[in-house]
Amino acid sequence: MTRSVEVFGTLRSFIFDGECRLQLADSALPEEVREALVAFARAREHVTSGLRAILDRSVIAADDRILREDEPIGNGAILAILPPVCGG
Amino acid sequence: MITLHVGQAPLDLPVLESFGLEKYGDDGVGALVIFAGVVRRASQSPALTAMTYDGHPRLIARGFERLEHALREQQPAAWNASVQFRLGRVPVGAASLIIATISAHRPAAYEMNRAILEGIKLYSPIWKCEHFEDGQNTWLDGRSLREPPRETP
Repeated sequence: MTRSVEVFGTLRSFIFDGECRLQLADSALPEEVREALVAFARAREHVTSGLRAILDRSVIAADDRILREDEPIGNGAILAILPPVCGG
Repeated sequence: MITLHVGQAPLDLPVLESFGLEKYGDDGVGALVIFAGVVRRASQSPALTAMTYDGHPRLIARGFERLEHALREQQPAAWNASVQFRLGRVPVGAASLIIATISAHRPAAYEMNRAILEGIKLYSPIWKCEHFEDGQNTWLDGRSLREPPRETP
C-alpha cells in the first residue's frame, strides 16, 4: 500500500519536497519505514551519503504519536520521520 | 546598559492583547513575565543571516499537553501562559518564540516561564537550519527522540 510520509529537519536535505510516497504494509515496523525511505532516495538519485546514520537516530510518528520500534505503523495514520530535535 | 523611564503615563503592554491574557486582568494577576527568543547574530564568518525553524505542529501540540500536565503538578499556584512559535525562515534580530506567563505573584510567573522554555528545548519536535551570507545552509544536530531525555520538566 502506498503511504504518504512527511520528513522534517535535516531529512529535507535528502527528500527535497519534504514528503514522499512509500510502499508500506500496515504491518510494517519503523525500521522498514527507514529502509523504504533510503530506497526512495536512491531510486530518485538523491544524495544518500549520511542518510542512513540520521535515520538510525530518527523515530517514526503516526499522527501525533511516536511509535515504538516493535509497533506496526497500522492503517490510515499520517506518517512522519523525525530526526534528532533541536528544541525551540 | 539599563534604559530607564520614570513617569506617570500608563505603561504599554500590547502583548497582553496579542496573547489574549488581558482577560485575566481582574483575576488577581500581579505578575506578567515575558520571554522572547531572538535569532542571534553570532560573531562568526561567514555571518549568520537567518534561521529556518521546521516543526511538526501536531506533535508540538501533543507535547504541550504533556508539559502543561507536568507543570501543573510542579507549580500548584494558579498561573496561565501563552506561547507563540514562528516557523519558517526568521531573520537575525527577529523573534522566533515568545512565552508569556501570568500569576498572582512573581515567583510562579518566573518559574513557569523558565520551565516552559526548558520543556520546549527538551521535548519539542523543532528543527533549525542556519543560513549564512555566503549562501550555505546547515541543519543543526540535536537530541534523538530514541534516547531518553537527560532531565524531566
